[in-house]
Amino acid sequence: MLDEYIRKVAEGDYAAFKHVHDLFAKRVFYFAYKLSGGNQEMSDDAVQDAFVLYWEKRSAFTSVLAVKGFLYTTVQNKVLKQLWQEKNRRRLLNEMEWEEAVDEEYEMMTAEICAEVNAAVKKLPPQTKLVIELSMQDMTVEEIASALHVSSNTIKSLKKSGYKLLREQLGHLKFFLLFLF
Amino acid sequence: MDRVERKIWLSEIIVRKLIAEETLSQDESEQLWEWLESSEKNKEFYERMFLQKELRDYEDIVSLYDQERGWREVNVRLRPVRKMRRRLWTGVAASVAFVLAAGVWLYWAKEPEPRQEVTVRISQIEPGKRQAVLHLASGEQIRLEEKDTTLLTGYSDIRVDKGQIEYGVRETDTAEVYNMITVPRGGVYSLVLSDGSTVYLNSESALRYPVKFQGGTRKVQLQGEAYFDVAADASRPFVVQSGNMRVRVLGTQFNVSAYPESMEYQTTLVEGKVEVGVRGMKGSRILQPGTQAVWDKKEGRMFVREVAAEALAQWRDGIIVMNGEKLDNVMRALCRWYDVRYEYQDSLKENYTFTGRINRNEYLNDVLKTLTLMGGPQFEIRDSVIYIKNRK
Repeated sequence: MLDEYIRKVAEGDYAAFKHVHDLFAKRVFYFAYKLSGGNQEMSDDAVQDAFVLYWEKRSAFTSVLAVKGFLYTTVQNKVLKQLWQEKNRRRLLNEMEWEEAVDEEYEMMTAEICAEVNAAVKKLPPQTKLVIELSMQDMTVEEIASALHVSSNTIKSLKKSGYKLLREQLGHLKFFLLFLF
Repeated sequence: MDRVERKIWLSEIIVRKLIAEETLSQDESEQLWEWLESSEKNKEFYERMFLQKELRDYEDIVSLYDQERGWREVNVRLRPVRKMRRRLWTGVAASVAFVLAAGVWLYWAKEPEPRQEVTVRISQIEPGKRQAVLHLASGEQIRLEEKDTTLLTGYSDIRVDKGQIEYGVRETDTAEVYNMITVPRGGVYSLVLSDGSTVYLNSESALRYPVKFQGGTRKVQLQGEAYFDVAADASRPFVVQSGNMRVRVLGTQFNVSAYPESMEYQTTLVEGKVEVGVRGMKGSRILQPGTQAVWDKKEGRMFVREVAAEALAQWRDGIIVMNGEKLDNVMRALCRWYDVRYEYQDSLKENYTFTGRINRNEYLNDVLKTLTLMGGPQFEIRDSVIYIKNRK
């Protein structure tokens, strides 16, 4: 249970903190990268800042949702502030940046959705994983079958069991959402 | 759940909708539909997620992040804090020992020495001044100082005159050419646009505007704070855009405060009529003079309240009028103007709010003294940092 880790972090468990870092660092990086317009250094810094701050304020957090919210919000504040203060202000002259500036929330949701789907797919057995990945790239059962030189029926059953496994893995999400209502 | 948390929660519902639809509860499905129905953009986003292209982009981007190195950096940055705490304890132990020793010494000495008066020399921090940088469409940047009065070579229609830049009417151009003015911390500047509208820019603010307005609207883009005195022209509405917030006007005087790091964007109407809207949010608000529209970015809502609008716009003359203003807001405004930072030295025992006026043409010290007199906390300035402490 993820909330269990968050409680451990709150009590000062550094190993649990590393676990939370490893689970969330990449998705938060994705968010920072998108917001900063692809600035790797700024994104690296913002992610590290967010985790340092989280550890410093750890006792205030008791749920995964609150931690995620804090990490995304912190990264967003850092990146926007830095873009504004330090980055070559000349870039502001570029119309695009003004117009498209504030779709942060969609980027955050993209990070969350992709990270969760990715994590679930990664845990599948190799063959199943391949089939699921290909079908996620909009390939039909027939196309996958001919590409891998196996029968459509094999692909069909791999796909079926793959999605079943995914559903089971996603059970943890459902479990923690029950606490919200 | 706040707004961000709600979005994270919705993301999880979408994930399960993508690959494990039957695990959704009725309530979750309803919440998802409600969100999808509330805007076209939400729907587009949702459909994009089903295309899986995002998933590949995501993989590409996160592969750039070196997780091991990131973790090491986090460790390095947390280490000094841990060490410091240990040092603090040895420090406390040492001072306890010192106090004990001093006590013994005082016990033996008949008369303690008179306490020495310590004089602390405080350097005066001066207020901001008129300064800005003009960014021409060519990429050229021109520093504008307080006393500058020049005609820009090659731009006969731009006049710079002691802290103000003025655009004349350009007849020949048909293409839309943009310029931008940025005002640094510790600065203020004013600008007359080609339509005769005047804009007063506050510290750490930027305005992007066309050299000559084309078409049916006069559109400018603002980050930070500015006071607008818009020349009346009913046929061409004047639009100020700040992030997702739009203020649409005909001819009027109003103030917009839209600092990206601030949770609230405020539009205050002094005279005339304006309409304030936020992209992706249903309904816009029409302001009457003496009212202020506040867009709360965190909660994603907008409300209108009555304010002393004219007083609030007096920052142009150096007067900052506060009406139950929070300490953080006051400090942020001062820091922008005096180009300093602030830090809390103590965790404050009170939630300070301020009502009254301060003059920001004075030295920072004097302004802080006034704030303390108004019932605020104690302040101390060291090396361009204001330290905030509990009152003794």
